[in-house]
Amino acid sequence: MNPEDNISQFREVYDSLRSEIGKVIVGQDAIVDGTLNALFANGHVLLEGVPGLGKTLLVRTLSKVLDLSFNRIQFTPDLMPADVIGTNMVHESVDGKRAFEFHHGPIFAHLILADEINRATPKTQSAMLEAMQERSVTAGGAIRNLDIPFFVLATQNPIDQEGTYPLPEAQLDRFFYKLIVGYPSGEELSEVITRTTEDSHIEVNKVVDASTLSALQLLVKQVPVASHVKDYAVRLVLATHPNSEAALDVTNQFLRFGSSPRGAQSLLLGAKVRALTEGRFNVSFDDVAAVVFPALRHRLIVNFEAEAEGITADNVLDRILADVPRDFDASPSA
Amino acid sequence: MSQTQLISTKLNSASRRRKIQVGWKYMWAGLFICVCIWLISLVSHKLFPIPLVSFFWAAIIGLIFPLAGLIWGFAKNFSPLETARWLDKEKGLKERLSTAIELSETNLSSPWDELVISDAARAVDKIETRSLLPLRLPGQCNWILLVLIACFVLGFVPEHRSKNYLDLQRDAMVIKDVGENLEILTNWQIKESPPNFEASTAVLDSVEALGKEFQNGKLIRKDALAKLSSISEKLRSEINNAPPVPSLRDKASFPKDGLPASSPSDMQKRLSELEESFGTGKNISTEKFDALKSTLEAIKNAASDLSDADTDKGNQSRLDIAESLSKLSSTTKKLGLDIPNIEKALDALNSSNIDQFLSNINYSAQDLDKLAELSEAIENLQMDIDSIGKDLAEQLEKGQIFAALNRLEDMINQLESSQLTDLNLQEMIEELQLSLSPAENYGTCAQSLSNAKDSAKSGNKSAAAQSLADAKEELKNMLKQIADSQNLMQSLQNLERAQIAIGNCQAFSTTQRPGFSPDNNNPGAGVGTWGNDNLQLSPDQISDQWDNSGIQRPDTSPQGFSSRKNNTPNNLIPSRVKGQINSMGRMPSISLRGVSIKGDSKVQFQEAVSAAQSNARRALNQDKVPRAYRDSVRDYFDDLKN
Repeated sequence: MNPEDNISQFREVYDSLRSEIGKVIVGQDAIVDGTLNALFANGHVLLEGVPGLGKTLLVRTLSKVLDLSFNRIQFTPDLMPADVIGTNMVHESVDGKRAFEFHHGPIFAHLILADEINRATPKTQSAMLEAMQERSVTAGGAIRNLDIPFFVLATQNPIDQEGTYPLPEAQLDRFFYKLIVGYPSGEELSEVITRTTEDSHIEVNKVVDASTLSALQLLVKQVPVASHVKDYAVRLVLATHPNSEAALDVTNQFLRFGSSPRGAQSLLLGAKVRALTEGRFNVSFDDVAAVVFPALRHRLIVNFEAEAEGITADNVLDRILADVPRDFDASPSA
Repeated sequence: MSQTQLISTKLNSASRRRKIQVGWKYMWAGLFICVCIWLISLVSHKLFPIPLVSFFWAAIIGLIFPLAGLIWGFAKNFSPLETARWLDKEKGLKERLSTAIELSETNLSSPWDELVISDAARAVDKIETRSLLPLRLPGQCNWILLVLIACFVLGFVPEHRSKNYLDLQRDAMVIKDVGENLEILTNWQIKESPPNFEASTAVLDSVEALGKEFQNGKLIRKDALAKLSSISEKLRSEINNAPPVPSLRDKASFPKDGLPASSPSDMQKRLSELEESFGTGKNISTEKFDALKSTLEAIKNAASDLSDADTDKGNQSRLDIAESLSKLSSTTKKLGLDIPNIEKALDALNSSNIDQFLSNINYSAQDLDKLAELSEAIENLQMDIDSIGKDLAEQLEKGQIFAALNRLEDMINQLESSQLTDLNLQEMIEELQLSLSPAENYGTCAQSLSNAKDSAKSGNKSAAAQSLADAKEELKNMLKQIADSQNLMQSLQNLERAQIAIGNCQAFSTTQRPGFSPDNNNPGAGVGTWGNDNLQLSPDQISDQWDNSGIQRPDTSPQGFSSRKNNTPNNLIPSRVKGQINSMGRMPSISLRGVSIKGDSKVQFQEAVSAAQSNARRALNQDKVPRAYRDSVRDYFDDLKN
């Protein structure tokens, strides 16, 4: 199959997914697009929003439209790593022999919903690290590969922080995107209550299986990126590094730590997916700029001054986007 | 054409247009810098006393920027990738073109690369390169216009200058003006009356050098006055060291080269020549000439209206004219005036040759004018001859050195002549004896005359002639000294004017007093003295005749502007007749400019009248009075006698 056919297939799958999810999820286009974008980029997503905005519903709907195995893990303070990964248990065979047998945890699925991930202890949260990065888990001295594709969709609640454990930076960095789920508009809210308060049952169809999804994820990586576009992504990431040569004033003033190289990877991969969804065969500046917020916001650590003044990572990124020129070489003469 | 070629062609075309666009853009940017420079220079000029030449340089430097911007834009080269990136940006191609160019440069041909290049070719094919060059005015034009308006408005804002600076500027201007005038006047003096002695030359040179130094504009008022004062002192010292006493200098009249121009005998000879030219007529007054001219003019007017000879009226007119012409001819003959054209005109009239008659009448009028002028010249020359002293003593007393020199020359010739009788010698000795006293003012002249007298008494004629020659040489030497002294006095007066000009901070020309004349050293102020002819329009300068009698001037009416009926009393109606001015006519009235002096005059009336008449005569003889005014001037001063 030539690339043009693959791209056509990608567009078809994407549009179908978008359409099926739209049957259940009202509005939240950016969140849906971001989630699908991360899905095709083979990245994990952290959804943050107040309760009741449809985060879990989105993931559940996604699990239905994808012909993939799905597990939900409700994170609680007493959740243990073994409850996530699985554990070796003594198993007595028919002939009476006893042996340790690995009992797979809920992580062994294509699609994982890590609900309220910040309510688990750091110990349990860390159990997710290897799985998310290496797509494998180590239990009982044995490394066990997870099913491919492996996709974690975590949710967390920004309020009611009592008894929560904020995700460590290392784990945050594993997430491809962090999506902020906002309130629906009036029309969307009206539609939501109509759908949920009336006796209606919405059926969604499965759109894509694991193998097709894996193939499309490989296709994404083939999208070419021009050097100056790549340079733009690099400069954006470098601009988040405080006290560096490329740092902006706003960076030095409000950031404690900037984005890791994973941020740059997320930028380009996300931009590639966006280019394909837009019907193009190459990445543009707009694609990069469009994914800056979800790709970098959770990788920036603001300092005390920013917290004191109410400056968020999004505010800093907003300024960086405005101040970093897109075409660095062409702009002085054009 | 392949897709790569299509992209390349479009890029080349776009690159050329981008050059123009960049040149256009930088030209406007340069123009903006240019007008900013102009504004800055204008504001600087308004606030600070920068020289005006800085405007010129600001304009030149300012104009360099748009030109340089245009050239730099045109000269700029863009690579295909740069152009592709620019096109992506300008046309919103989402980096299709630049990505395709990068991929094509890698020389790796994968299906995906072909896809990207194909996509870019489709996109670039839709681009109309002409639309890439919208030569519209950039946003800077508004700022340029704003700055230009600011420049225009600033043009009406007066410059801010401190009082001290303005004073210095005014001083510098006055000093420069004074310097120019000093140099011109001194040069003119040296050219017209070259100094005879080295000391005088040195002093005049120093005055000229001072004039040049003033023109440099580096001197402040205080220094200029100090230098003027210093040179004035030097001049005064030089003048005071000169042997002639001031009274003598005032009396003497000198030609430009310091030597006699015409002796009394020359003047007599000239008078004889003029009288010979004039004919037999004697003592014909100006009034008589005017009457003759009027008669001739009347005949001329009558002749212009002459009718046909066959009619009675024509015959009568001819007879009248012939009679008038005969009377005129007889009158001129009685007066001793020889005007043959009158006779010829009469003959032409009798022979009915009207053209010839008119021509002869015109010639007669010209002859009459010439004779009138000749008569006037004879009269003036006679007055000059009459004013010369009759002997050496009187000539020396009156300061008539030229006449004295001629008299001495005559005496020397007589002594050297063998025809000198004892009576003549005795008369010469007596004349020399009488002239000893007035000769004391003339240096060693008195001693030489005394020696001559003694030698003549003792019969030693050659020794007497030698002594008279010594006296003559002394007088000549004194003439030169006096000429130099007058030169120096003129320079001193110029320096005084310069001091007044710089001291009062006024133009050099305004320091000339009304009526002041360096030739006669008149004070210049007072009724009846002469203003500067150059400042008023003389009839010679009037090219066209005009008649202002028909001009209505309600603003000069005694009643003023009023809608009421003119019921002005008779005693308030102006009786003055409005005059007509033409180049040859007589003026009904003249206005003399001058400044009235209040206070009692200490000069005797007769002396004042005599001095005024003398000055008027000199002015008339030297053609200083415009021709049209001469009669009026002469009448006025003649009336003073009565």
